Amino acid sequence: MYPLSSMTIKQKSVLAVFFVLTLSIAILVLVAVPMQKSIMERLIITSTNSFVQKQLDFVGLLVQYRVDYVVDHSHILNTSPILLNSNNEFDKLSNVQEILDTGDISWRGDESPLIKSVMDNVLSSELILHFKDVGTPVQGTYPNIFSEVFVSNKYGAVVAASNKITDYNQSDEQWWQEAKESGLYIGDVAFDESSNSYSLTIATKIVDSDGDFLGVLKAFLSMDTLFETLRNYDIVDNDYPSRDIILLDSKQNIIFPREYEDNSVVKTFLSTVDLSNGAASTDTLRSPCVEEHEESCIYSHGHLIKFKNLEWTLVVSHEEDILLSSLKEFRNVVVIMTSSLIIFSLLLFMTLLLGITDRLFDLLSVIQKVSFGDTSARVIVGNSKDELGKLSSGINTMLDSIMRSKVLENTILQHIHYGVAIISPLGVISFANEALCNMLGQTTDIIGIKYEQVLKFSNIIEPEIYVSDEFITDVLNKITSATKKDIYLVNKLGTSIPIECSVASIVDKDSSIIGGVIIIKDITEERRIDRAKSDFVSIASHQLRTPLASIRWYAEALLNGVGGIKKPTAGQKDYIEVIYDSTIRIINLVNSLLNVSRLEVGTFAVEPKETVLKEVMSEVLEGMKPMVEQKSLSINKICDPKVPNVMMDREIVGIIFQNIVSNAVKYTRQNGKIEIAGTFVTDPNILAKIKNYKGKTGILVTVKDDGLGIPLKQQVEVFSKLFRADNVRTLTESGTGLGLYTTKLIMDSIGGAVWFESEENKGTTFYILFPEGGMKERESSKKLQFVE
Amino acid sequence: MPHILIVEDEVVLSNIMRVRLEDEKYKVTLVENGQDALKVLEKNIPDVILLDLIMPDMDGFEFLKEIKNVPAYQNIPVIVSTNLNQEEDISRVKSMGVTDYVVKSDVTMTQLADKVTEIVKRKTTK
Repeated sequence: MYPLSSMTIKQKSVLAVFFVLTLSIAILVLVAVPMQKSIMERLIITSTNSFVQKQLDFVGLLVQYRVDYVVDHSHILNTSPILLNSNNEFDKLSNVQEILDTGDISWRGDESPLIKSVMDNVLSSELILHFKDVGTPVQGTYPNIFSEVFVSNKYGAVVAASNKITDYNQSDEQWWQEAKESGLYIGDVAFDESSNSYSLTIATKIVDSDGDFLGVLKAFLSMDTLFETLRNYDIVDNDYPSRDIILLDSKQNIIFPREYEDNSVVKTFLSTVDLSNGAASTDTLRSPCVEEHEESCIYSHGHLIKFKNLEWTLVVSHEEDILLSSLKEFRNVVVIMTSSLIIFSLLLFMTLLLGITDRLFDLLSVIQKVSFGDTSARVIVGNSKDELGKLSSGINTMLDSIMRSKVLENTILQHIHYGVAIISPLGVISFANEALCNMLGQTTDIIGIKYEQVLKFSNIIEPEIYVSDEFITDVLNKITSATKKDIYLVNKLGTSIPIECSVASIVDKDSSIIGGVIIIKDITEERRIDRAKSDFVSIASHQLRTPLASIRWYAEALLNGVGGIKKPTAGQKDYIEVIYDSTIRIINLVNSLLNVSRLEVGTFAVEPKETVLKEVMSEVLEGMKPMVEQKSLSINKICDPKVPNVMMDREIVGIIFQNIVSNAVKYTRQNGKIEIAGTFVTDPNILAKIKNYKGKTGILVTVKDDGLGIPLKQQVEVFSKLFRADNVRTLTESGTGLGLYTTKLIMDSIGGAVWFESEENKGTTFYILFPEGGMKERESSKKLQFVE
Repeated sequence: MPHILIVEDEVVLSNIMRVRLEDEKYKVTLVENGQDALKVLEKNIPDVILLDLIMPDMDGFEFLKEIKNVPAYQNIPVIVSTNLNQEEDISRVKSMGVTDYVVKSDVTMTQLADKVTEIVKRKTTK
């Protein structure tokens, strides 16, 4: 249902890292790359703008300076000493002023390649020098800067020309007039057939030192150089090769390249571009330049020159792909880098994770081993100081401590004199100590076999009767504990060992039974001691009885006057009676001690017969009649008719009644009142309050007196051996201090209960509760003796 | 005059008992062990035997065994008068056919004498 929960940490972590890295790449590609692209574009536009600007500056300068030189050299023509002091051919130009003035030029009509050459050379060399000075890049020489030069006088007649002097008056020409008026005329770029090249017509007026008009110099500035320069820009700037460089004049006519002059597609495109300012623009355009190319281009443009009527604009286009190639590279680098990062991170992470998970697996395997009982298993820590290292050390320390306590437990369990076994919920022995094996006479391991195969019990009184092991099964079925006293453990060798067997459920934290513990105590020695004690008491009491019987009988003889001996006098009689009564007390004491001994050993005989409790009580009271009458006690007896007759040992019941009632009689003052009641109790609430009483009904005998009572501070000791309350000790009444102790022992042994309520000087109430089932038969050679 | 045989090693006790029984007009013979008692029986069959159990030479148990094997003695009433009060002893001798069993220290001489008298009376009325 939850695949995540079934995944290992390793799988989860790999998944998480993969997810995070993929997400970051996606963000990078989807957000950062477009952002980077726009930044790149802006940078490219800016740089192409500056590039265009640079080109504009250069091209602008190129044209500007040429025009300037034409103007300047119109003055040189007037004063140049080079022209005056030259060889023959130069001599002809020695006095240009004069020639211009007179119009008498001897080389008129002749082609004068010399003049053209001079002018070309002078102007071009000057130009080269100038460009060098201003630092403008110039490649090689600039041949044929001027394709043609004419000089006309103030009347318009051509007086000098680089080519053939034509015989027509130039003063009618608009350019001539404009040059004369404004000093400079600049025409359009036009194809010059004579030089077979495109040229720009420049005309400037020639003045003398006084500023008087002398004539006009007309030059055709060859565009070849400019075009060549523009064509070479691609070569110049290799980083951003331009797709197109287009030069437009003020009328938006395409000056360069000439092949676009009539290209309607280019013209249409250019008409869409706002060329009014120098801003760059990016437009996706099907390239007008080369038909088969369909790349989108970025167009930049700027004013090349603004001089007189000369307003040229330069349009430069760059292929977007080329410009953005670095962005592509960037994107590729990003993809490659991030992919490598993912792989590297995953590898690194896996390595780290494997290190962690492998160690976790180590931990897990150690924990599993330990849970299967191998407490010697330890985690290998090494030099690791990290959290796992600490965890491992912690677990090892914990295991050491568990091991220590386990060793301690084992040592205790193995060396304890009690036989100890632990059984599984199915009754299979999972642990058995040495003492148990010894008791069972088992030399082979008994672990793994069912307890009922080795643990067999029999009745201690009738050893041939097997005792059920139900009490062991019980602890496996419900949470309980039990102690089975006085049974035999019958071992493999057939030997019966008297034992006391305690069993208890082993319960885990969820209160489910995970097994049971069986503790077997060999009570052979206790029984031997008990027997010896009992025998000693028997023998001692026998030995005591002979002299006691002598004293009793002789005192009796004296009192009654046997064999002719006279009866004693009144005074003698009192003394002899003291001897007699004291002897009786000693005899009672001896008999009581014997009872106690038998009760303590628990081997007294019980012979249940159907008993009418009322009758037993009457018999007991009958025995006390002399004392009751002497004290003038009123005894009130009530017996609930519901009290059933039960199977009980009459004599034992008699002993109990005797002990309780005799106390009431003894410790009640003259004319005192004793109430005896018998009730049948069925109220479970009442029975539940009685400690250790397990019966569902019970016969309650209450003996209430208004006598001396028991002092509060002594009430806890009432049932202890040889107890006599302080307030009765001072009285002369006899008492062995064994009666209540005996009663308590008997009641406990038959599953009944005895308790009391007492207040000093107010009286005492004793409660005796007999179980509804009466007493269970028990055979024994020893009977409890009724003691008066 | 009814004849009572007291088999008792404690002479102190048998003496006073003899005095007490003689007051009841019985002929009393004292012996200190089973052996001697058997000798008495050879001459004279008593009406009642008061028999102690723990005695030297031949104790009460052995004596009982002996007399129960002799038809002539089988029917002599025997009151076991002892200081042994264990059930095993009591049931043992009771199974041997004794008439009564008393613990000496627990009875007065009068009670014991009454038991004897009762048996003697029962015997004579038969």
